[in-house]
Amino acid sequence: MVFNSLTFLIFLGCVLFLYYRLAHRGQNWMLLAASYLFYGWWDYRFLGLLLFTTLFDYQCALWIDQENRAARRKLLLASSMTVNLGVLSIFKYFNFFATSLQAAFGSMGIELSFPMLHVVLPLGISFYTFLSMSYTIDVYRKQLKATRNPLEFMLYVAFFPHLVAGPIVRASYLLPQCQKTRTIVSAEVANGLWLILMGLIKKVVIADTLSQVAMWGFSGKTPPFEDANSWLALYAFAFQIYGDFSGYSDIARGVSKLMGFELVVNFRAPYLVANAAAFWRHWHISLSTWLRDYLYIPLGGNRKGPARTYCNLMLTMFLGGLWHGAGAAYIVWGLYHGALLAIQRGWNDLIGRSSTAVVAVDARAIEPQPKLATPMLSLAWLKEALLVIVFFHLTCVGWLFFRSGALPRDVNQLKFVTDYLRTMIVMPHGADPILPGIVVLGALCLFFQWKHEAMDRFSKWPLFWQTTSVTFGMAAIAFLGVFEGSQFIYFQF
Amino acid sequence: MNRIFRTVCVGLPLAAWAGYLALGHSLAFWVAGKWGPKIVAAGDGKFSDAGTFIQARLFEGAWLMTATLGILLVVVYLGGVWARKLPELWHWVSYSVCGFVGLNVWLKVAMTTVLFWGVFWNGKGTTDSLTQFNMKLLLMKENSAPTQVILAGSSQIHAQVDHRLLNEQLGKGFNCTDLGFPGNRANDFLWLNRQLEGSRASIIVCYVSEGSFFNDGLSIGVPVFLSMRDLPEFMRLGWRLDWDSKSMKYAILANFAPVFRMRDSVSQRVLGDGLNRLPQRRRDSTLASDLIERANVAAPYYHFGPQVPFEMAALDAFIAKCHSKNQRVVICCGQMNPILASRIPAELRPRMRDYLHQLAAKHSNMRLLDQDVLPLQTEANYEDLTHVNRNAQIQFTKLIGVELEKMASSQGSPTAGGDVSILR
Repeated sequence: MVFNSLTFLIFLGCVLFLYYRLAHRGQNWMLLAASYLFYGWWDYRFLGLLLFTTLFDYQCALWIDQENRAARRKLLLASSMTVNLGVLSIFKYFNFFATSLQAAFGSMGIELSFPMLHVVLPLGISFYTFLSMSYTIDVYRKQLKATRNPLEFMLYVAFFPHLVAGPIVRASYLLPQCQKTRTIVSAEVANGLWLILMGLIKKVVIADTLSQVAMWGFSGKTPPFEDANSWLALYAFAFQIYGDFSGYSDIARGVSKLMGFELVVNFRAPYLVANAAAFWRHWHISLSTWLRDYLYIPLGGNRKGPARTYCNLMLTMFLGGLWHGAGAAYIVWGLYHGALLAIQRGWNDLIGRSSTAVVAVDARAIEPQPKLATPMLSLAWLKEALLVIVFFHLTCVGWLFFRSGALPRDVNQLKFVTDYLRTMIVMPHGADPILPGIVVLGALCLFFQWKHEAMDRFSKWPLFWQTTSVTFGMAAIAFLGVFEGSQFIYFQF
Repeated sequence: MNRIFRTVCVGLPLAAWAGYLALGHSLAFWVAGKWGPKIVAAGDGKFSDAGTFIQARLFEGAWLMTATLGILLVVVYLGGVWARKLPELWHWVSYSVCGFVGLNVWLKVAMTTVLFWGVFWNGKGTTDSLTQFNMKLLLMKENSAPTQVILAGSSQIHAQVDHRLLNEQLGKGFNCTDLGFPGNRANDFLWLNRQLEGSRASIIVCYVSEGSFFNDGLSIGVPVFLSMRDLPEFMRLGWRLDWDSKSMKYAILANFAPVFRMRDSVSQRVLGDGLNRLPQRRRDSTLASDLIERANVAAPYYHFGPQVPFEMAALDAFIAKCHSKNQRVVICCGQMNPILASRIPAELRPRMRDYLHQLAAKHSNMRLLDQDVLPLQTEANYEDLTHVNRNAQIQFTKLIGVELEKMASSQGSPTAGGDVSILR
């Protein structure tokens, strides 16, 4: 049941119908049942795993909260981590590590044979595992009191708008919303409806249209272009993945607002930034803040000298890449971004500028607009614009690694990537006919990023812009939307 | 409602009509006198009289302006009436819903004008089928030639007959229009009946081959032409409805909101034709360059499937409807590249021919050009599995021209049985 399907529309209609008629406790029960139905719609067997990890973490957190002895608390936390990461490893990474080990030993002449697991990867497992883990860690750190109500905790983990593809909302943010009686504010409902419409435009108009180009670029054993037109497939994928993922986040936030919930902002203007650190403050913010708070800072962050800082950066981004998928391409993508961050930090150290935080600030905080908001055509603006263009292309190169992770099994990923990189430096013979489509949809994508703050305040827009945007939004979906009910890219993670 | 807005909405159309009535005719013919030949040449055979063409566009301009501002006025008024019943925060809902409905009404109106379709004209060979179809159909209605001929069918008839050559051959008494779409399946001709209402088409030339009856491919006419009114008749004829298919869903939606009919045209205009043609490009890139290999892949799709009786019944119904409108139908019993024809079941062609003969005997308004009358096309005449080359096209066009001249000279509808041209 994907957000861009008729089934979901009917499902949401039923949920809202019941929701507005129930009292707080009834709402929670109903939402929990609806969330499990939503998740079980793909495969009911996934429900057991979700239930197990949820209840296990609930109980662990409760024990940690009640326990005063540091060693016992640590042990409880470790057991929670072991179970969560164990589940993730078995379902997501076992086969990858087994084959990698086999290959590594094989290259040394040692034949090893691991049994392969034939299991389906449960949808959104990385999302809800991280969600659940952050809760026990926060309780362990005494930043949060463990809840005594399993219903509220189960709803926090399984809340259907964010369950399969985030945002990864911290318990300290969402759990109180499950606990308190929610009030439906009309202005927020209006904002929510606009977010849903905008999310659908991003998904069915931008992402699903451009997915044809990206699919074409990455469907064969060799890149389809022989010259720099190969950039087009990368641009298409860059806009596709933004439209797909931020579209999902918008719909998730919009649906939540209809029920009086508030989820964190997950995307701002990632393609309008000029460096790697800023990119990670604008892209998948809930993941980058998670990595910062639960990985980078506990590893020592930038407090233990330059060498350790670079190591921490690379390790954090390595794990960030691995989080996305069990494959070498995702790891290379993570390391590539780690390298960009390290280079930026090195450069800043060299010229004596204070380095900005590597990963995102609090996802709820209002991030200042990129410098592109400064008066146009001033020298500072032109410099910033140039840096934005350069960094966008660096991001696209990163997407080449990322997208190659989903190449057909029989394709040599490394060879494909090197072939692809080679085409990117050959002058094109002429513009490919797909260029206008990518330009139009890309411009729409950038417009949404440029106006990302305004997009959250629909209820405050002048009536003329509200009406025009909604009418054209509906028309754009009807005229250009791809209604294939295609999955969101991040479901696989 | 703002007074200036109201004044503009009423005043501009009035001014446009006044301008048209006062200057429309003379302006059109002044422009035609100055640049007429260039304009006709740019029309690529779709019209022959520049003056009439320009005057009609000026009329459409005034009409579209009236419709646009009139609908806008109604939308704002109705939106306002509804908004008064809503809290201020929700006024956008009433205006947006009225706006979306207004857009659909406007499309319904605008789709009857060449000016509107002209916006979607993307150049020869890169314009979507629906735009081409509507422009040609609307321009045909403006043509004053006494005998209007329509060339209907899939891309095969487009490859077989050059309508410009045909028009040159037949002279001023004829006007041939190659609609090019729909027609890849025999049942597609049924869509044409309704679309041709109001036209003066008297002869419809259809090119059918095994692909029209026995191929599993889907009709591309469904999403843009299916009307709910068609359903009872189609089901009576044996149509196996696939409610779950994408084209069927678009067709149903399009019955309520014309925006869904315009999807291809709009996306081609907004996003360029590169994205629209990408699936085809991907398919083409996987096609074997060797025609034999391609034929081996295509051949299994030709068989006497459950849809065949419907295709045949639909053609029958189409000819009967043409009869009721005093239109004559020329059916060319066409062929495909022998490379493909030799690989499909041998009984299909005799079955098709038998059926066409039965139809010719049944319908007095049908003229069957059987395979023996038509030039035999060998492998050398084809560019691919279904489309002939230029030499074969010229030969075939000449033959059709001769047949049409014959038909024109023997005007009047036959009373019993159709006409079958067979050289034995």
